[in-house]
Amino acid sequence: MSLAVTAVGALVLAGWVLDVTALVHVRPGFPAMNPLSAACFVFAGLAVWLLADGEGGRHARHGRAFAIAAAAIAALRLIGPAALGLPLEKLVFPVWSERQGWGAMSPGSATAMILIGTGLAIMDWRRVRASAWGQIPLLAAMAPAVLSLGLYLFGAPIESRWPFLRPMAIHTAPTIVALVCASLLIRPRSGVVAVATGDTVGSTMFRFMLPVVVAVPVALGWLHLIGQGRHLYGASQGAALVATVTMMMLVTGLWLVAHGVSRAEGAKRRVELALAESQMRLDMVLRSVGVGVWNWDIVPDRVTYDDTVAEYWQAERGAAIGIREVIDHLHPEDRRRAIGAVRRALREGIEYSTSYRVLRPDGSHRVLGARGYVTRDAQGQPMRLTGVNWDMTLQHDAEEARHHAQLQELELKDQFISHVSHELRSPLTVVYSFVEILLDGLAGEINEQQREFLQIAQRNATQLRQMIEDLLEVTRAQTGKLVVNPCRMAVGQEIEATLEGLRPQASAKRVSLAADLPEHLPAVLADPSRVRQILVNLIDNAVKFTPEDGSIQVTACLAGAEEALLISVQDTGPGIPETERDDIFRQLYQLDCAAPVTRKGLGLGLFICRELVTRLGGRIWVDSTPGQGSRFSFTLPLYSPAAAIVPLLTPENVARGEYRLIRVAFRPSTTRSWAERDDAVVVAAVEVIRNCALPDLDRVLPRLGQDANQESVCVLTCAGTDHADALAHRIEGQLSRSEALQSSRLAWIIQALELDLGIASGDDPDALAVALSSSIEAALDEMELRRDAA
Amino acid sequence: MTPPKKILVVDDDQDLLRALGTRLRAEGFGFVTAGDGVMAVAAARREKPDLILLDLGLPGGDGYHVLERVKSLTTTSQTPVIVLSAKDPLVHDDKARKAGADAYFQKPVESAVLLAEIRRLLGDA
Repeated sequence: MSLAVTAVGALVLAGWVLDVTALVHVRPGFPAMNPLSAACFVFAGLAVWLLADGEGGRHARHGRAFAIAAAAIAALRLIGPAALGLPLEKLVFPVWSERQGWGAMSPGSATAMILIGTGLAIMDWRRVRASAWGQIPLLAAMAPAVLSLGLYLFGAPIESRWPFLRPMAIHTAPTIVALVCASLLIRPRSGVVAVATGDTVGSTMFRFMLPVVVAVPVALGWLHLIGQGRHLYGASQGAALVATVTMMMLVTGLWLVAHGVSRAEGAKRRVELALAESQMRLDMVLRSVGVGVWNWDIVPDRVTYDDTVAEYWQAERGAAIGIREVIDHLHPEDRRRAIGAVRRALREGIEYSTSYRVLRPDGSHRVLGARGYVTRDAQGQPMRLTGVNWDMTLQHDAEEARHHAQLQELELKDQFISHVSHELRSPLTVVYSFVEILLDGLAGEINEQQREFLQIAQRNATQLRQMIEDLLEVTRAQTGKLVVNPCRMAVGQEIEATLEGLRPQASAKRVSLAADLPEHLPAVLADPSRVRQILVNLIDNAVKFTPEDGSIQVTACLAGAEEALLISVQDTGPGIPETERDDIFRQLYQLDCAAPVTRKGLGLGLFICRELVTRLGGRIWVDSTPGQGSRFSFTLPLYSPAAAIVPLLTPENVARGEYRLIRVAFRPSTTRSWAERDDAVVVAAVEVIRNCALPDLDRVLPRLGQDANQESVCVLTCAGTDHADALAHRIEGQLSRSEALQSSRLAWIIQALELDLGIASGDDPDALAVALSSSIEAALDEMELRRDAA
Repeated sequence: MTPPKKILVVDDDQDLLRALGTRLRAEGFGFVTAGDGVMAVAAARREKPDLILLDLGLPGGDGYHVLERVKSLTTTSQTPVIVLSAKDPLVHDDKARKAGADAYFQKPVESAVLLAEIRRLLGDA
């Protein structure tokens, strides 16, 4: 529309240049559009177009300049005769002013143009506020134009004593109206115009009444003129008629507006009542179940809450606080978890559910359940978090007390059993020692029968010792003290060694004992002493149950789909009925039917095996054909650093692409060989190293296990040389301060290695982890070679 | 011929003292015994044994107390100590070694194993 205004101005100017009456006068005898008015239209049209562009900045500045130009021209026209001594047109267009039908720019047009120019100039000045004020001169500019249209409509004479009643050119008036409309629509949602364009009840009423308000006076004026023309009434009677009808129309309009507002008001009140009622019901329900509601408006960071929440947190009622203050009141141990739950909901979900302890100002605490919902804006950005709190303190404390009592009971039982086992061991030791002394002939020669009987006594003393040991293991399992220390180990060697130890027992029964192991068995992640304990238990059982001249075979192979090694012990004993195959792994369970008389024990062995295998991350089960034997199988997870590495391979770390391996090698500082208890020291050292590593950047790999004279602990890091050096330094410092290492005789060496990944494996973390893990193995192998060569 | 190595055996169980005594004598060791903590420290000071075999649960000051005293006396601070106890090695092995013991065995122990460790600590193969 603004460009159309510019076009009208340009066409009229062209009309003046080419002397085309149709463009300048529209119809001969009508007043002409003054070239100054035309120029004003060109400028003002451009101004509106530029301001409406919305880009702000340069465009708006140019637009404002055009608006000021238009206003300046009109102002010069008004003050021209007084200030310049001559009307402005005569100065600018001396030639055209001689033409027939020339008319000066009407004062109405000039006033309108000044108002429009001013309005536009301040439109975007200081943005929002000025646009509201800018609309007022624009609206005022309508008046002279509408007046001119009225004069034409009611056929008023062109000449008038009062200059303001002289109409503008017939095309100037509508062009001004169009210009004002276009200007008002630049900012349709602000200022005075907002009322007309809004979606409130008032705006709707305004749009509904506007045509009526415009049409009624026009129609009345027209009817009044017709009536007077036909001499139906005189001037005063006409005025009275117009006044009456106008009054009635206005009253009717006013009534319509009032009626509309009343109806809207009534509807609103009903909604409010319903809302208040439902709010009351909700409050009642929330209060009776003890649920409090709170709100977090994220951007202004304002937390609001109801009275129940205030009571739970012992917060000041109705105070305005930020989320920081809420977090400060959480129990420090629960902070991470609670914040994590909310973060996750904000990042990817809409709902979270958690619980946390709240520390109240008076020193007491409450355990609160919490659930919350995230509201998002149109762009998906979280806007607000609405949540509920309920009190779980009683349940939580009861649970805690129950758990505590249970632990205490187990602890007592544990103490009792260790005490009893201690008391049993002392006399057993005396029995055992004297039997040994007699067998060794330290108390004189013994005959064959005496030797046989003493051997029976010794065997039974050994069994009694094993039972005491089993009893202790079971108690440890129940109190969570059954410790396993997994590291990389070769199962093959352990199987061979165990078989060797049990061979005398088996040959005594003429039972053959054999292992069938493939050439290359992958290493597993397990605890060597515990694996031996499991094997001894299973093979010992097999020997007990297998009749004379039977056979026992131990096999190991990869377990199908699982990343695990499968180890089986197959015997030719009586087998186990299907109904009892699960029960035998239970505590104190013994097969009653097929048990040979020589069988002795508490029935705890398989229970302990299951506890150990489970703690090592495997499974244990039995297959059996009654009458033909049983096969006990268990699995152990394969050693694979890949699984440990994957969580480290976040997109940021992969993008960095710098992997380094820090190896800490532990060796005994004296010449003695590794002892079992060095294991405990290495476990303590791993804990120290783990505490030095940063969770996001470093990963301590599963232990490599002990070889002849050393054990390495490796850390993979993802943050380049500087970070790796800092980490190595930190580890060195912490290890030398560690008490466990001080009192041991272990020395350590720390090395940092760069890892060569060869061809990059892309961004897939799993593939990358496999590549990294083989690169780590290669680096370690190379280090071994170098050490052996040295 | 060098005089036999002397071993101090500390235990409150007289039967066990007798058994250990029989075994050690048969292996050619000299030995003295003590039945409680106080006597153990006194015997260590008086007899200057080559090695001490020590129980942990003792009347008159437990085994740790004896260890501490023995290790603080100049005459016996270098004497190797083997702890022979019925107590759980998971708890006491490390603790005893930190207190100065050279080895820990849980009762009952096979005599062959115990003798091998005694010989190792006494420095003869």
